[in-house]
Amino acid sequence: MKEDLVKDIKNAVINSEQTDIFGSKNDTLEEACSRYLMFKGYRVVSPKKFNYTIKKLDDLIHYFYSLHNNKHPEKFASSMDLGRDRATAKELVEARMIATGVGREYALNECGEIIKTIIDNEDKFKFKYNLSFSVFDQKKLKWIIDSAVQIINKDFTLKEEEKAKILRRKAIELEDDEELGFEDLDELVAKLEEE
Amino acid sequence: MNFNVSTDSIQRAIKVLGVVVRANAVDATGRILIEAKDNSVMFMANNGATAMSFVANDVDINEPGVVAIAYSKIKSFVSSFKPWSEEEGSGAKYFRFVSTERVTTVEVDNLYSTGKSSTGELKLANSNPALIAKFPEFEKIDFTLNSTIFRTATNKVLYAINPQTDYNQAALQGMNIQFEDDSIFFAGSDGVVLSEYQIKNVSERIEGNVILQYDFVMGLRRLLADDIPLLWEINGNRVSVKFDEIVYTGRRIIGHEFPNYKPALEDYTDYINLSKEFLMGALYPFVDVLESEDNFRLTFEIKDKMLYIFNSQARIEAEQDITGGLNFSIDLNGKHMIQTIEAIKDDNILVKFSNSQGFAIFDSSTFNDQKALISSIKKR
Repeated sequence: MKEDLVKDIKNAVINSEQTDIFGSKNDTLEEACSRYLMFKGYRVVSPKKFNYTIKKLDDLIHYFYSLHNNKHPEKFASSMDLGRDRATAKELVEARMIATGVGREYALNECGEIIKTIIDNEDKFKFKYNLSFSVFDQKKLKWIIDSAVQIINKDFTLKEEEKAKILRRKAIELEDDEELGFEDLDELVAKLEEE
Repeated sequence: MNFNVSTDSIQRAIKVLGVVVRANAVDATGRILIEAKDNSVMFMANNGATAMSFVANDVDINEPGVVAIAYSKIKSFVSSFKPWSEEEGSGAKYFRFVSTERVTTVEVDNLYSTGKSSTGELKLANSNPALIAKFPEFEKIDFTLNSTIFRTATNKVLYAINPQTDYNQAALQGMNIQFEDDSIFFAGSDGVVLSEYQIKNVSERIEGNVILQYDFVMGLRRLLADDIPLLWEINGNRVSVKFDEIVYTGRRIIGHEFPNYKPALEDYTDYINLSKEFLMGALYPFVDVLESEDNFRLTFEIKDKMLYIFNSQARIEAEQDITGGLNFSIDLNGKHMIQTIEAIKDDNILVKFSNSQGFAIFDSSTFNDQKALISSIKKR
């Protein structure tokens, strides 16, 4: 089994080197790697799909200011130090690429998600000063990013669990009219664990 | 059912039906339907994907009827008798088919050149003829193609098609025939290599395209004799070709557009003209050292008026008439390259290119009607 999975990855790598004319070739590498990791016991989750189109550092900076100004019109930031913000944004994106091993495009969008999370959850962070782009400074305020990532992951897990719950309900509705008692089963397992 | 059919006709019918019949199948796809009515006998087979009818007119019908019999049981019996020869005064003139409710008997009288005679008899169990689905009769001609031209076109294009391709484009599992102005374009591709053959349309002017299933094209190629007109009818998802006593029917691929590949064939910045003899001579030495685990990689490189073809194991360097300053390198599937150049019927071949991440385009230098395109392999 393991040998077959490794062989599949090898074949997928060979296939990935061959370009195709119409750009419609199935990418088997992702699937082969996922199957191998699942075999090894890893939980493989599809990459998060972002709704943003953040392609460069400036997009990230402007995204922050537009969200911030929209939320706090009274603290409207009429000026910014673009040079300093660019350096901060660059460090932030590079830090995410190192931390998660993702490509630049994904990291830019993930940083967009982090910015949105911090602004949406500003009260949870209990900032002493007005929120500015300097909160993304990796040297001094790395904990802010770590906390934001934790919030994102928690939300993501909750959403996945909610999705699974809906799917489970749908499956029960389609397969059988009778309640299968999955909820009761969870309770039963919890009780058994307690005992 | 009771009729006589000439040896020539029954032998030809059995031979051509072999293209469609699944000889080893025990279900209806392994059987042929025989229907005697009016002044002809129709032999028919249907394997679900393709179907064929052969109408024999040199028959003598005593009692009309219809039966279905196993193809594998009759094939050798019918094929082993020599047809009647007036010159030699020997052979079998006809076969007699006599059917009762359960059994069909095939009888033949044979005369040897020595003047001695023999008789043969084969008893076959009848099957339910209703299980072999008949297809609608050939009604109208949508276009005509010469068999030699069709065979030449398929020789140029079929190698590029992989009917098992797992690409998202279902249309790539078939051969595209595109009617455009005064030309007909035949094209096939597996997504890595694409091959096109262009001919002048001298028959009916129709517009649009038809994508033929690979199996249908392969079957038709096996049936064709040289230089006969093929009459084509397109009706819904069905394509029929009529020639001689045969109507061959298959399905066309519908609901999927054949990708627009034409812009890619014009996407190049430079070209060189090489003799086919040279190219084949330079490529054949690699046949045994092309690595399947490396996409049969072969590097095609032009540098300082020299042409280099190499992989990790072999290398060819050749002096060619190449414009100075033209430097280019691309990695291609060597098997596709050999097949592509072999398929072009010309003494000289144009090789067009623009960059190492793109395509290499090949064409007949004289006629410009046999274009092909091979996509690159990423360099390491």
